[in-house]
Amino acid sequence: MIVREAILISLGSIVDHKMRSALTMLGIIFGVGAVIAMLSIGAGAEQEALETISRLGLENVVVRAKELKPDEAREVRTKSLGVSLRDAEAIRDAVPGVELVAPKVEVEPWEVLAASGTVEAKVFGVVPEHAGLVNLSLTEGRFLDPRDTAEHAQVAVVGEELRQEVFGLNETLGRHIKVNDVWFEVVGVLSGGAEVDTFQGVSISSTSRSIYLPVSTALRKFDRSPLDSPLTEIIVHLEDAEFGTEAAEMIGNLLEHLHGGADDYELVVPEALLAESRRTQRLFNFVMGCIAGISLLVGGIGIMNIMLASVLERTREIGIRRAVGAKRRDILVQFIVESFSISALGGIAGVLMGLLIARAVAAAVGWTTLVTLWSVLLATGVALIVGLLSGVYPAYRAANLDPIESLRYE
Amino acid sequence: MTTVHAQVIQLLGVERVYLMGGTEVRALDGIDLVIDRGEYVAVMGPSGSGKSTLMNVLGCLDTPNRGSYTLNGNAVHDLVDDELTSIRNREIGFVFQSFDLLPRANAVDNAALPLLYAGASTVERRRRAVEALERVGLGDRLSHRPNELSGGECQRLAIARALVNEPSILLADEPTGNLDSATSEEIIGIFDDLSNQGATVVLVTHEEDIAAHAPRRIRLRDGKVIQDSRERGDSNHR
Repeated sequence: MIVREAILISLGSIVDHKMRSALTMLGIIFGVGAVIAMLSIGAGAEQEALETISRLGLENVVVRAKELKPDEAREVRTKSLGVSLRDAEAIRDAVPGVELVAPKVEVEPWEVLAASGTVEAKVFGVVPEHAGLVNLSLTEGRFLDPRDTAEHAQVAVVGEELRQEVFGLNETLGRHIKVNDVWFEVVGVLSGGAEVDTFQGVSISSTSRSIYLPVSTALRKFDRSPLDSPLTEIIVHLEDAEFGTEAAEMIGNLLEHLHGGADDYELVVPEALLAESRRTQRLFNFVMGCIAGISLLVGGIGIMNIMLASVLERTREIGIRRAVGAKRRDILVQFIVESFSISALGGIAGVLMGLLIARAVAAAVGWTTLVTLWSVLLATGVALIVGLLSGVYPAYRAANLDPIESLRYE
Repeated sequence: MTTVHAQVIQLLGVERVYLMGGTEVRALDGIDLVIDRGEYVAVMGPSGSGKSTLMNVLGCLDTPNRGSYTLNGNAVHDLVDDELTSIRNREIGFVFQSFDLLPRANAVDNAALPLLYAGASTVERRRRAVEALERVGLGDRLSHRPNELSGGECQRLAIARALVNEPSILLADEPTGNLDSATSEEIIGIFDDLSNQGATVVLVTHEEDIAAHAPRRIRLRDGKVIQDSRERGDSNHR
């Protein structure tokens, strides 16, 4: 007998027993659906993490001033100046593999004023290379350039959201914006950044409400409290991302020495964050995979159970088929194909269900979900194997029934 | 397709012994039997006489412990399961007491079942099944399922299934056992017709008036043939 006939027979049998078939498929449907949904949540989280980390720049190590409480700060400042240009110079000179050291300072804006009124904004003083380091891109104008730094120019690059709020649909370049009591000319606009602000407890600022000024201007024009670090952070750009962990260690040793052991800075290594995120991801996938795998296993047991009952119920049919010329192999194929068909149909329904759950989760909880092709292939592949395996034993039982006994079976 | 041998069935010293709860049961105890092509034979005997076992052996569902069985020139007594299965498929047409149709399949698919395992194409299966159904007078019931057919029609369908592969023998096991007497007559009439058309028919029954249709009657008791009688002027026996 050809497999095509067996498929037709089994599809007929599935249609004839709609309720039973549907109940049998349920385990596979939920199993496949769960695998796809879980992995889509995992993949979505991973994608978000990757985007966030890449905004830090994989080849960067960031030295960041810790926020200290006033009394803590007073004590620490007796030992250490805080994150400063001296640190930046020391890192550039002492750590091998460093391509660039970019200081960054955050200005406390008590007033940001434009023609349309005051707005909320974050104000940073940065070097021209900053844009390349953290993957900032512009929609119009230019970023800060070395001449701005050298001349302490009063120019600014603003985030997209801020631009909309301040200037609306009007021309932006060449207009002025006032930070505290200093006027700046807008020379560039950043393209919209992602929404995420923190990742694994490390804050990564969104650029959409930011104003970037030349670091030299920021340091000269705005006063900082003597208890604050002179710099907010130092971005250390390495020649090679793989060198990140080692470089971070050297920088850590260097700073410990420079700061006299004061705990007033932290080191952020995007590469380490990425590795950490990957580890978390793998663990998540493994746990979810196990859970989903168990539900597929249970589904398989369900199929085997029904197939055994079906063999018993159809003993007489098997007897007739054997009498009129079905070989053992024909019966074997028929029942294996039947359980395979059940799991295949269940698998298809499960894929649809997985897509639905992924959508529902994205809509309800707001997580990013990403259904990957390989998760669909994995889930359906496992379901098919489960269907095949759980059909083998019942089919073997069916094929080895004695035709005479089966014809007598009531 | 099937080569023609004058002797369709040849049993020599066939024994079939079962072990039942430690005791030996001799269901068949040295059966010698020759059935020629075109013969119409009734096998009779009380229950426990070995009728069913003989039927199973003749139908290649069972093999003898001792003795030889030659079916249409093939020695089948020591064949393995797969070989017996293809012999059944080619040479035997079964008709059972309880019809034994596939409840979910229509008349055409039921009648075509043996062809499915013979590897015939879909088109050929349908053509030959329709032909067989027309032979038994079910030409207008092609797409009916068994539960939409009367008892007599079900048995006709079973006969069509038995005929579809053009087997060497038709083996009918109490074919009228589940039917009322009028329908029984109708069904036995079909066997008479098939016999007249040259088919070899072996009918197992315990009803004398059914057996009376067959010119040759074999009686079994305790696994032995105790009577083998032919009617005089047997027109079917060639």
